Amino acid sequence: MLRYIARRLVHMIPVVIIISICIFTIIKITPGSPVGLNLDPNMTAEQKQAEYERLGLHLPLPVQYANWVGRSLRGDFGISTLYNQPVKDIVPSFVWNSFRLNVFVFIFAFLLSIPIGIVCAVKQYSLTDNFWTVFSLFGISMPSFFFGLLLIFFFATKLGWFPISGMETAGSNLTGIASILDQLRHMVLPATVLTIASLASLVRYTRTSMLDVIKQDYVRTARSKGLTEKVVIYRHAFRNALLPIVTLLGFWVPLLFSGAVILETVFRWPGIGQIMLNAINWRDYNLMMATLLFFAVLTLIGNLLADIGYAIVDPRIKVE
Amino acid sequence: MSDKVLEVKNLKTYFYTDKGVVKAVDGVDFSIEYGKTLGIVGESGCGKSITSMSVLRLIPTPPGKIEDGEVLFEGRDLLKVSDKEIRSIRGNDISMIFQEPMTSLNPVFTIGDQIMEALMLHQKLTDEEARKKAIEMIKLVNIPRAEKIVDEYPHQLSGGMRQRVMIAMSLACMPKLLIADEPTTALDVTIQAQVLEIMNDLKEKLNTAIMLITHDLGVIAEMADHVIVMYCGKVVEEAPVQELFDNPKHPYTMGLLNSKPSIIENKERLESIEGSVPNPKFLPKGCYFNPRCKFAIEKCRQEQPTLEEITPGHKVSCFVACKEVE
Amino acid sequence: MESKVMIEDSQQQNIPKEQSIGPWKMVWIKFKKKKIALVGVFILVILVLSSVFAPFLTPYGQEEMNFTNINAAPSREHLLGTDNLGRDYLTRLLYGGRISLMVGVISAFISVTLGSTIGGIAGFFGGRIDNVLMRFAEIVMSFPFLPLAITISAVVGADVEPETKMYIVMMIIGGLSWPGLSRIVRGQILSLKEQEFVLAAKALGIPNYKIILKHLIPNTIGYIIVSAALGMAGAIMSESALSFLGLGVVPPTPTWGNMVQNARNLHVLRTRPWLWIPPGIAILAAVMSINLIGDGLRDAIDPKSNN
Repeated sequence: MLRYIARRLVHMIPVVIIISICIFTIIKITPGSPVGLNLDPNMTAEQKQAEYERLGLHLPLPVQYANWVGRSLRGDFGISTLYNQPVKDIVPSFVWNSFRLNVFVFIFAFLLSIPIGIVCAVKQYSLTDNFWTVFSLFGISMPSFFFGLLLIFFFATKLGWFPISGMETAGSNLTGIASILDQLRHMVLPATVLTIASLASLVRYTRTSMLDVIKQDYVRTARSKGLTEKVVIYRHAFRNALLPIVTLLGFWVPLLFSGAVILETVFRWPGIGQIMLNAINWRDYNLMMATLLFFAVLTLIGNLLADIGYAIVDPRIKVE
Repeated sequence: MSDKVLEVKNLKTYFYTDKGVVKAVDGVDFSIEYGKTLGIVGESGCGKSITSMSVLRLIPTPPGKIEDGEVLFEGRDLLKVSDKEIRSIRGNDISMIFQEPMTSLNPVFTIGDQIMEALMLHQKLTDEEARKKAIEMIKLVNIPRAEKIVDEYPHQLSGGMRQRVMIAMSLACMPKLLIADEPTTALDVTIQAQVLEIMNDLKEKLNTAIMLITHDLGVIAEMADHVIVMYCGKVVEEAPVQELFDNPKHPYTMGLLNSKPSIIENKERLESIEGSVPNPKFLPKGCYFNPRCKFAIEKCRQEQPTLEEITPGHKVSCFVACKEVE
Repeated sequence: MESKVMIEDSQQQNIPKEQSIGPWKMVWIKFKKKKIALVGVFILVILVLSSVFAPFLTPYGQEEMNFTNINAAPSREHLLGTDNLGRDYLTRLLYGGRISLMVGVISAFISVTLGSTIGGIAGFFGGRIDNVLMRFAEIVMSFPFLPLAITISAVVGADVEPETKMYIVMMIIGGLSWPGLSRIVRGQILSLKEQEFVLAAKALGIPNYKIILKHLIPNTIGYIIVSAALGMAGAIMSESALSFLGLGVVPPTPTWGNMVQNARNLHVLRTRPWLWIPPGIAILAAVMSINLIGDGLRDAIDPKSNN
């Protein structure tokens, strides 16, 4: 197994290199000089030149790239001009905020969607199945920002049950349980939007893969052995339906985080998506590069997890 | 007590589709004696497989439904027992082998797990006992390295091996009846012979009755004691195997026999039955075989014949054949 | 003699109806049976017609401003009120549909063309070409769609005309969403290549292009069509998200996405729901109807699906 993981990691190296080149290029072709915006307009030309050289911007592009990679590997992503702090000091706290939101969604969505999907497949065209089919259709067709706004409109502005936005009540100095409850209250609406969206596609996915599996010959074999329907469905059929679901699990993590870009904007949730947008809007290059890199690495880790998960649940994958 | 392990009476299994009712099995009668092999022959789509699945109530419902009839297993009507009872019979007293060895084993469980499952369920064996028994069964079907195979996955085995595993699995609980639905059709000819031999061997050893479904008359000749021939969901002829081959009465049976190559007769050309199996949604009037029958008379186009015993043990459902005998 | 006639008769009457029908007609027959997919067609047709015939449906012009009547609530003259420049909002909504739907169609077209070409080439030629192309697809896939789309849009489309920006958005969406389809097409081609009828064609010495035209394309076109439909739904969704964030199509060109952007102002969100709920519902309706059609098509085309 370790060798398999190692092989997958080696396989990823060229991908990582190309991705980093892409990110670097994207940032480099961005119009506007990377220092221009943030320099004191009263600087003389010499001072500007000195600043350029200090930042290594006079060097040839490949050298700049190598420097950037070298620094990144050491965990030095430069200074965020927007926050006036080293990038590596700000990103983790925002990632943590996004993570807190997503972890709830992830757990809820998976715990709910798998049993629902199975029931829908087993009782195809039943009332339950029809309900969830319509639900899924709505869920995948509903733009998350619009859904978020609707929830804010009804539950925050009209009914006042939940705060409109943010992560905690501003200016309050709540502590302990009260603070946690306050944060949970802020989390309800964005988490609802993300959960429903996730649930919609996960239920659909589980249902489809389960429907595929229960038609298979080995399910009939299992029945012919005298196993109960429960064992047939949950042991024989589900173990097979799990294969594509495990793959999806890997893709889901990065998808959740990147989907949160929109939702964090709608709910002003100070997460990684928010600072990415801020970085773009304020041309904070170091921060832009770091956040993009974060998303790309997250996707790669997700893919790797999917591969590993698949190798664990499917004996047909040759691990050696 | 009767000597029949299974008696099927007037079995009717229909499928209800958007485009109408398909009478896949329409009033089938047969019985199997302890330790004997009953062969069921017919072209694809004649209801053989549905008959076998109906015995264990494995028909997917909807769209299928067993409409009428009795399936008496040692005197008990399996169509009337509770779900729990039928489950205790499946895999224990009656087990099944399917046509597709490649897809009939679950790809994510080891061979051992799949054999042990029924043993632990029906015979209440412990994990260890079941494993021992599984290895024993694998040896019994002539798979070498049984101790190793038991922990392997189906994809590591060839088709013939998998079918042997299926046989080992189905015989693990020493069933009184084994239903084998085209067990060798998907296999190479040489492998076919080996698998059939194993089945015959085990039948003797374990005194298991076999219900063998096939379209291959060669297999029937080798394995069966008694044969029924099915056409469009009905039994058209029934006889002991020797009698059927020597003295076929139904034109359809004759057609099937003639379409088999024979070295002895050295025929110029293989004969085939003209036409094809009718669409089950648009069955012809009268005898279902009449449009393809060389001997059809007016009566065949108007009325449906019934199964009549013409000589002891030999039944046929054909006006022409019955008249001949009179 | 007589019996022979009988055989022919009965055979004719026994031919199942399905066999005499061409594959596309069969798809249509199956599709028609899905009432819910027809509902999708109905909704989409309404949306398309209303945006195409926008000039005939509304007396106001797209950019027609009336500063004496700004921020008006819905009324008989202005069914959805007016915006902060006094433009009739319903008019904006109808014209916005043009852009949103067009971006959807063109993006999906770009993505499907890229995906099926790249996947087809990779699958058909195999070997090193396959390796390089699929690694390329893998790399594109390794970028999370939205963050990358946002960045590119911000970088490339920083100081361009709104019209140009619209094309940039199409290219970004189309250019980033093809890898999924390319993998499917490649897989299809690979498995088709192993099928007897293709091997037979090869053995008969039939040239490659004929095999591609006669065997490979007809057998993959179903997947491509379904993927085009679902890709269009995704593209409309992506465009609306980008535009909502202010990084897609920008005003004054109206799209449903940038119209919902109004709601980012809390005051508008709270007090003038007619400025953001209708475009939001329009997006939902468009995406849902296309998804319905896509699902219906998949069920109708996919031979594996029963019913």
